[in-house]
Amino acid sequence: MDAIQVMNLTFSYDGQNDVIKDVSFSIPKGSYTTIIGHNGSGKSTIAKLLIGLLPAKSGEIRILGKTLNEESVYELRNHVGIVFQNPDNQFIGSTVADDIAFGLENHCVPQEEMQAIIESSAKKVGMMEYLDSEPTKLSGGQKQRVAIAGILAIEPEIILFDESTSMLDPQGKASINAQIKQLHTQKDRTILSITHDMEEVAQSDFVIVLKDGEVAMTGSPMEIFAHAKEMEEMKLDIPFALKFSKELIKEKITDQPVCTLEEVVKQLCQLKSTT
Amino acid sequence: MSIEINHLEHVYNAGTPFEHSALHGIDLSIPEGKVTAIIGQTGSGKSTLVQHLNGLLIPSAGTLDICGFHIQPLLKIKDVKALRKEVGLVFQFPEYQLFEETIEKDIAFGPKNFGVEEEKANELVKKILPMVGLDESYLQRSPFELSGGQKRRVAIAGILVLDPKVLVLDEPTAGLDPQGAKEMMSLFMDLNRIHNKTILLVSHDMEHVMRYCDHVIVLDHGKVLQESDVHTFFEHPEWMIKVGINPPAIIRLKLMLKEKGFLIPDEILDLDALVKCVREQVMLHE
Amino acid sequence: MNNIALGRYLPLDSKVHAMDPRAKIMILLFVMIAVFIPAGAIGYVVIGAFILACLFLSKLQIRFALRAMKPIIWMMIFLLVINVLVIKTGRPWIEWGWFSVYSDAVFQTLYIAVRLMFMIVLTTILTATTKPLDLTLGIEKLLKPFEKVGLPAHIIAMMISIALRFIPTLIEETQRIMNAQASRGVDFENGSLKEKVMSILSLIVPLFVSSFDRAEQLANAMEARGYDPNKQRTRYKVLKMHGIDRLGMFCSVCILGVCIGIWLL
Repeated sequence: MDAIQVMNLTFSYDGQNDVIKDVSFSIPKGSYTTIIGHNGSGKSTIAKLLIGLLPAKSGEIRILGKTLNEESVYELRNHVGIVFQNPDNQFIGSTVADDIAFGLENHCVPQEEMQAIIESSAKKVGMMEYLDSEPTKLSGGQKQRVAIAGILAIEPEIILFDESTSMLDPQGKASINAQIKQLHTQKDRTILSITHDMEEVAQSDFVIVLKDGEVAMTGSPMEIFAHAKEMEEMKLDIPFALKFSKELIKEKITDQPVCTLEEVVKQLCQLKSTT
Repeated sequence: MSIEINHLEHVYNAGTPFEHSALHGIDLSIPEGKVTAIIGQTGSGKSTLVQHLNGLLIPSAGTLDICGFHIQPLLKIKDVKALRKEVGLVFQFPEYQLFEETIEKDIAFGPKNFGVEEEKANELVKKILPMVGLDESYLQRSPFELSGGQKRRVAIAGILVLDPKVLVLDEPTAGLDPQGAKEMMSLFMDLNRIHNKTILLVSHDMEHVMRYCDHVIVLDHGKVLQESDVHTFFEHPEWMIKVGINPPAIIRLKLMLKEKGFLIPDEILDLDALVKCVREQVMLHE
Repeated sequence: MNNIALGRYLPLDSKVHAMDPRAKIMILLFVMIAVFIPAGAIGYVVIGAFILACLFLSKLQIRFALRAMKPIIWMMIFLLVINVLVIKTGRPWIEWGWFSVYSDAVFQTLYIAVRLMFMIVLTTILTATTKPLDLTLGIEKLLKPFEKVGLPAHIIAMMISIALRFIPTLIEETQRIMNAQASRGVDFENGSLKEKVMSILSLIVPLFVSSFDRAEQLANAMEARGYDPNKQRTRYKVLKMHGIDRLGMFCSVCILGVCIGIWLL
């Protein structure tokens, strides 16, 4: 069964200009999918539609086989968590522990069970020592980790990331990307990440490219990056590792394009040892 | 004339329970006409240092010489407005400073504060708008209906219109998509190369620092940790990792290859040279 | 902006910090009422002693509490001038031609000053020793009985706690916008009336725009995390009354009793 199924989804803010136009895709359970696209391509609108913050104009969204509508939305939020872009504007509690507790309180988790859940979720994101810290004392990356902990506490099957690293410094970005990667290796959790970061795209299973509210391409990262011309037209970058890999191919050093630094190094090491 | 900073110290909320020392003993000489990067982790004192440059903060100790102004503790700068005209400071997420009904009025706001007549100010606006990649059709539009990247351009134009000699940019590409960031950086490069502005760039993005800057200053816990030209800086990346700076992808690749026994000279800093170097070593085996 | 002492939480480790916020609010309430009962000098000595004891137990420096009163010093001086000019009863202390100072004028001012001082120090102790969120939780629990008559105690508490959570963020934001506009030549201190209006606009408009932005994003985040103001929620923090809380409340009720006693007898 697919974790998310989107069928002929259309949406507009003003009722006239559609920002999402007849979009269809499905995301298999347990996969790690990234959505990319230039600014204004409708990426973030899709995230809001998927979590039921915006109502679709037409079309259907199914989460874990269930149709998303006004009646089912509260139920479905038990199964979908989202981490937004701005670390400050999603930190609701006055301390880390309070913030993780916020979701638990909303989902009526009994008070006696909360402390254990809060601690275990904080541990998972490495924020255990900060349980009593106030948000002003935390860096952007730490706040985003708290946001992830708040979602893990609810144990949703699907986690959405809506440009969650775009406001972070490189350390924060790297730590959140590592966190996402780690979440992906655990259990059969489905991850959908909207991002600009091509290094993150390179580590995902599946990519959806949006252009002006429509799905322009879908496929594995390598398949997407292979469309160099389209990517350039859409003002999307390719990862440095792939640029380097392409040069190696041009120089006839290697013949297989790869898109992570680890793979490049692996290829070169093999060449060095086999000769 | 370069910017000279001598033993600069800054203490926030001195004499209260919230006293906090942000800079201790900064000595720097920032070259004129160059692009200088200021890097350091959150809380290293970058923002505090930068706010001294146009007199928003007055040092607790030490002195600062910039554009003919001598700034020292306890002394109010006589003509702080004149200093702010010479040193343009663009804050992080500057789009949040827009407030006027039209883009023209918003950009003209600065010059008018400095006593420029409205007509003259509007002329300046017309001249500056193409520099940030917007045409005259934007003049009468509301800044609030623009996209994030465009808003930022308008905000930056609001500083550029003052024609400062020194331009200080605090994380100007934060939150922009890669394409937007690239365009923004090339705008600053034009300002440096064509209009000969001294540029100080506070940045986390090592790719930008490597590609666009001439000079690098590293701050750590309110002290200058390193100051060098950009090549020397990236030729010795090991300590960068020690301080917790994520090096650019090419440097990371170099380090990874070195670890696997490849011999890569320190001075190789671009893709083509690295490919060539690797090629020689792989082919050598064949 | 960082110098404000009134309303600021100081993370210290003291007996008062550890008290139940409900007890602290009730004590504040009782003593405040006592302050307003005209119980003469003895009443004030009793209340003053209690407040000093609280200050001591809370490990707050007297300097910190006194700084909280800075804003009212000018008000007091103004009041003294008015009183000296208006009140002409009691014993005359100074008489220089038309100018005279009567004892009642000074006492009257002193009387108001002491009351105000007590109130400010009490409130400072409460806010300095209680985390904002605990304070709201205390208020919420105390208002709980009124839910039956339609008072949305939970929603009020949520509103207060979010407002408190965002105060530091907004102060930071204000400072940043002021700096940004100052860099565009705005002078927030001097200038003609027209310039002043413009400089305030240049601060207020961006602040509103970004606050609305924040509010919308925050509302989205809260909704996405399953928040519905009309739904039942469980609570993470539970409040517990201890011996010291009961003792404190008992003392404050006694003080109130003593003051009422002196007043009536």
